[in-house]
Amino acid sequence: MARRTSTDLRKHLFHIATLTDLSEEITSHRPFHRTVKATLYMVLGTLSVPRGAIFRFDREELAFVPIAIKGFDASKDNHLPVTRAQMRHLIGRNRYVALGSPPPGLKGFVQGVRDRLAHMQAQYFIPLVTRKELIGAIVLGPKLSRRSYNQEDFDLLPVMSNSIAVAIHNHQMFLSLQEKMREIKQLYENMREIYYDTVKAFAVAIDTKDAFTQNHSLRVAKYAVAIAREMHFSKDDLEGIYIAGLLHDIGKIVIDKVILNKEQTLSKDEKSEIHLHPLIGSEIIRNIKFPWRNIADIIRHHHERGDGHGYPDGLNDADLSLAVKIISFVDAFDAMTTDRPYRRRMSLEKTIDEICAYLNLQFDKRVTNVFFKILKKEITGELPDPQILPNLEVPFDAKIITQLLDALAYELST
Amino acid sequence: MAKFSVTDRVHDKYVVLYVNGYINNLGGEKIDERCSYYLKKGIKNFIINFERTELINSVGISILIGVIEKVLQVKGTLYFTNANRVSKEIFRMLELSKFAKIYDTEEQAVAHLLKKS
Repeated sequence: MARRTSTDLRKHLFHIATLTDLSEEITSHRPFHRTVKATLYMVLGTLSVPRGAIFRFDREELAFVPIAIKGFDASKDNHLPVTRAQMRHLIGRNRYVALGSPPPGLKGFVQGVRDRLAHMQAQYFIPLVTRKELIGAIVLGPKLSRRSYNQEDFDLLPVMSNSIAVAIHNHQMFLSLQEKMREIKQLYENMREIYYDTVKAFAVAIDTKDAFTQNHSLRVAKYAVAIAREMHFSKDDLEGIYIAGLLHDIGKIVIDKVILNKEQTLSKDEKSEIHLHPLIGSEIIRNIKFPWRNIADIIRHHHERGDGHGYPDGLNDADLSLAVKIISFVDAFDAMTTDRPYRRRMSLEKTIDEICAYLNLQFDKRVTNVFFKILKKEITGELPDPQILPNLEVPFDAKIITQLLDALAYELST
Repeated sequence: MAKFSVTDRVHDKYVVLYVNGYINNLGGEKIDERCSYYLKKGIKNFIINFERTELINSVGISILIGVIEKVLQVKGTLYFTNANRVSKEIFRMLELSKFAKIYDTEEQAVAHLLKKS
């Protein structure tokens, strides 16, 4: 009698330990397939059963699909199809089905299970149900000792199967959330693409208006990204400066075409009108909810200068963001290296001299230094994806420019 | 807790598997893997020495049941030795002891195995 009590106590302790392990396992952060496998082993180990499987219920396929198997051939087709009526039966029943004596309404299903799982000599089918939803099932083979399952086993099974059902249900919810996240991300990506395409269309419209600035906006965008990348801008900020480059002259859309293409010196009024384009541009853009920051501000200030002589606000160096300084620099660089209505393009050497002459007045020293470094790397072929040279329409002597840039690199770094 | 490991000693008639660490998770499948490895080599008799195993839970039992099934399939013999009191009680309670002979020491199991053969 005493021995019997001691064994019972040991058994209870073992069961409690299993339930504790089961809770720990299903709340762990281990990969789901490992967790399901471990929980199957816990059920089989506790009941001393060599063969068994855990299935998830696939609502679309209307079948139980194995997710953990022990003791039999996993390569066989172990899917268990079920009809909607049988599904309702299983949900309503919510307890084990003895495959040797199937209840009415499940005979056809049980026969199918027995046939499909003959290789594991399946004896019991335990539906996993949570909140009246069929989640999956546990299928158990005979005990190692070939004894019948006892009442203690049947008392323990619902406790374990409920925990496993919750674990599978939570995982399915997680997967469905992940799928939703993927869809949202895809929508966001599509939206970005649409933004890009719209912005590019704007840039083309801007550049088409001015016969002398064909592709100017695209070149400014590319040069700006080249500098920003070298200055380790984040991915989002790189996109932002690219968009700002494409749109920096959007205000010119409302400037008279005759003024934009005038070959003679502009009158004071005409100059004043042209000087309005950064303001108009920033106003056009201000109410657009871009996914990128400060686009309107970059557009407004791209004609400001560090010495305070720029427009429209006459800001000083300290008030200008790095992005503004980059756009301002590349805008001027492209203006100098392309034909304008009032003058021919400058040579690369002359452009570099001009930049040096206005260093710290119009052009930021740090931005200039980085740009020259990129230019040199592109000339010497160090950059795999050059952004400046392919767009440059001025001929130059690579040797002379390289020497010039080397000398300037020394000066700019001191 | 040291990392779970299984080492072995190979004799021409049997293999002793020394289990080092808790058998409480799927890491314990190393026992099954070693056993399968030697079964493929034609060895049918196994002694599993649990001297360095303090704890075996339901996952461990399930793994050991898998080993029992494999050994029985080839009509081999399996011995569990040096298990602590609690583990031995669990083996008996879950009736693993009907399929794996339980001895207090590895030497006793070897003696029985050699006498038998």
